[in-house]
Amino acid sequence: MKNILLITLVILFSLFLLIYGESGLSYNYDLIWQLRLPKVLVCILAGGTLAIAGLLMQVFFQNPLAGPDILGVTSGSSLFVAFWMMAATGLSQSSLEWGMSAMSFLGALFVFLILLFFVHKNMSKVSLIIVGLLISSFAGSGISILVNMSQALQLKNYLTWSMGSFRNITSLEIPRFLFLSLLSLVPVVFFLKSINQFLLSENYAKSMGVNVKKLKFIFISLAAFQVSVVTLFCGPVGFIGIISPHLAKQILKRAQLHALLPAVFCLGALLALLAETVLVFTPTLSISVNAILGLIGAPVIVLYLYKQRGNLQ
Amino acid sequence: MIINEKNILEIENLAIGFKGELLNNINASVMPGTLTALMGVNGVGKSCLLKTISRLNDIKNGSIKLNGIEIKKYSPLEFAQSVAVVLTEKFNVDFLRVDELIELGRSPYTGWRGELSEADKKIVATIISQIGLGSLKEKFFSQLSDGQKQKVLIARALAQNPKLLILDEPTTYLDIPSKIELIKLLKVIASQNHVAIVMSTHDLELIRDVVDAIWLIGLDGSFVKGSPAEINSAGLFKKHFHVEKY
Repeated sequence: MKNILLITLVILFSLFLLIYGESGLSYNYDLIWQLRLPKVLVCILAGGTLAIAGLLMQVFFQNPLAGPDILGVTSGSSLFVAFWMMAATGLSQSSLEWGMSAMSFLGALFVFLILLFFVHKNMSKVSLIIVGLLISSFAGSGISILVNMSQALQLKNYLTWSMGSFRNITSLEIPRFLFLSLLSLVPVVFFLKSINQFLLSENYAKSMGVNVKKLKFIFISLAAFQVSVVTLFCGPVGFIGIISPHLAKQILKRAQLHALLPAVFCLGALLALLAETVLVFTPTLSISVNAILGLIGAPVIVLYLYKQRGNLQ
Repeated sequence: MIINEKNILEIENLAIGFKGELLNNINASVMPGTLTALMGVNGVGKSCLLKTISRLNDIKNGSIKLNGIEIKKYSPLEFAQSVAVVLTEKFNVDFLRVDELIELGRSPYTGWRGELSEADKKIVATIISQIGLGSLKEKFFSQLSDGQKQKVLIARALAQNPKLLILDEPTTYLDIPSKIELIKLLKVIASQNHVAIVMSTHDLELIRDVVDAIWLIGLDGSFVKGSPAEINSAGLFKKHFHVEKY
């Protein structure tokens, strides 16, 4: 029931953003089809994909504070993309773009491997979060050095991208984004049973016949894929990944993945649509999506930590 | 060693450990429907032995046979249908209902979507009433007391329909009445469900009149097995626990 309510909300928000844009209320056919519909689709899929990535990471690390941005996966992806943007000059447009996709994925994967190393060394959950934050700041330093070394045009491209936005995708890129994000999402459905078994712990999952090594590989590659697709097309987007799973759990009062998955996706989509709606109402301020998401996300996390005090070791 | 056809579990010249060898030359066997207590002071390798039997740790040397077949020859699913565990590790999952958690125990039997058949549901319902969890089944696991949690975890393990049930210190965090209740429950499960149970515990005074056998890992790395009376009369409790008399 609540899942249906959430889906309805996503649809209502989307319809609103289709008829109401920065230029106000308008039903112009071309405007809706060429400009607003792509933006709405990107919001839904980018938000939903980040939220699912957050959910996978929270189950995988058995850590309610895990998320693509907080563990540095988004920054890793950004750093590799920034490097490619600055370094790959003189390539054809298509090899430039495919190279960027690959670098974005490799960056995310690279951070996952670092995190995995520390998990295997039995690092505590809180320390892992700190490592994630340090990876972010390390990547941030790398990026700022690259920015200093770059030329004006590349710099502008990069800065626009690094703000994070659901609008920068051109209508030419839309099909590629839709295809890649769906490709990163669909496999999750086939592993819901194993992920449910993994909810208790790795050893319990193993004792119930789960091939844990295979499942871990799937967890990491899917989450890295999801984060990198969104980061590539929308820039680094924060908070959606970490808070959507919590909101979904609080709303549904369920833990099983079958029940949670649609709600988590919808909440990610809703957060993205909500942020975009705020932007639509403040066209002159040129606020970034991340600023809005930070205003919503940070208090939600603090509230969660407050409720969980004593439970997080 | 004489191999008894009826043994569900046979351990021969087993060596266990993580990197190096922790213990070696372990020989033991377990009959269906019996309750065995694994004892020894902290750090001697009780958990490691239990995890090795349940395939969560690798065998260093020697052999472990389940139903006469080497455990490493079982597929993960076959093994999950024969051996179930209750571990010491705590997990913190919000909003996971007791019945949902117990139903997870059926997952080695369900299809790729994890949906329970009518037969599966019936098995789960039987276990819930046997363990006496009827009034708790719609509560969240995270809201239960430690004693209730242990019972739920035992119910989950039983849902795997195991021939061998392994429990690592199931009584450790419980108060005395809950400890007694849990040990009685395990004894009943062993005989009613015809399951072989091996549990590690420190509660010697509570288990010695209940269990069928004791495995004792000594401070010197020795492994001794016998009935509680045999172990006591040999003075082994005194030797390895520094206690005068039980």
